[in-house]
Amino acid sequence: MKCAKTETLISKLIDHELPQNEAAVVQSHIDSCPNCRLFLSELTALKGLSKTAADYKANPCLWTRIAQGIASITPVSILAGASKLVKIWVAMASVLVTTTGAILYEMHDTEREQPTSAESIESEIFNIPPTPENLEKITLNMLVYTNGYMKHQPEITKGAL
Amino acid sequence: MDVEMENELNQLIQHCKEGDLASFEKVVQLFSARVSNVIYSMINNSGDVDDIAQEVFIKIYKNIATFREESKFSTWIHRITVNTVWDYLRKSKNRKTIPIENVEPPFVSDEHGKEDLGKLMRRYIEMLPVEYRTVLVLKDIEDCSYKEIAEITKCRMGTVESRLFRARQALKELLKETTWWRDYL
Repeated sequence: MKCAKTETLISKLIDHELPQNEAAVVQSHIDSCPNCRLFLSELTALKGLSKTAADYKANPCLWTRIAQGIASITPVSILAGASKLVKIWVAMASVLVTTTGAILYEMHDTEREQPTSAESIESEIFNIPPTPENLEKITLNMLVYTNGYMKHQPEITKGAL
Repeated sequence: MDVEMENELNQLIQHCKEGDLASFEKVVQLFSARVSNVIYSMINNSGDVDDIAQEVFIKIYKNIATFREESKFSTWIHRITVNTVWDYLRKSKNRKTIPIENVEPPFVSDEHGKEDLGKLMRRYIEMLPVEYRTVLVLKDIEDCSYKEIAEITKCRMGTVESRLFRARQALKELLKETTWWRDYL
């Protein structure tokens, strides 16, 4: 076995990547060759020295940083790996949910802000018995009625003026 | 890794696939030291290690559902780490393309402690072309098999073998320039 060939095999030998029979042949050459013996000791030393490069102390706050990074992932970036069809479905669902929400809100809002009609005030005025005790209440209701009527009949108010 | 640990890891992976953040935290705890050291050995810049490690783990979190368990989980993590480091080196233009025969050894002090030895080795490793650097780190630091390195770097086993041999030869030549190398043997 030639030394040049053995050198490449020595690299595999120290990595335990040689089949047993080949390793035995290489070992027997090494035993009889001082140059290859030196080469083996050099590569073994080198392998040990390379390990000293990995002396980084892992940051104890790394998880906090990663968790923050995960929290900041937007839904769009989550879909980055999804197929086109999934993206279309998600987009359509988002539009549907937004539109339904807007309609429901609008309906609820209309119900909540329904103004008191002049007719309902009118019915309240005529249902109060005309006694001296109720005089103040009737006067107040009359004022509210007039105001409500004018509010709901702006064209008449304008005409009267 | 023994069978019990492997089973535990497989369970963690399944939980991570279901979006369990607590399980992912355990995965980070298990692999953060290894990932950080691969990064550090390849870039030799402690200031950027955490940023790259964070990027690696976020990629893992985002893509864990696509991990098909055809290879070892550590191999998959190494592939993501190596790809992220390559991207970083490409962007920062740190990627060395100097032919090995033109590499000048750095000044080496005769007296250096163990800490300095790590620094010195990173400095030497950094001088290697990135392809050589990668296989050397994966083999000598991470103790990956040639087959795993071939999977991680997406090249043939013969290529891994020859790159590793050349990387070691180049490092040996650099170390020969030091005054302590002969005594170290």
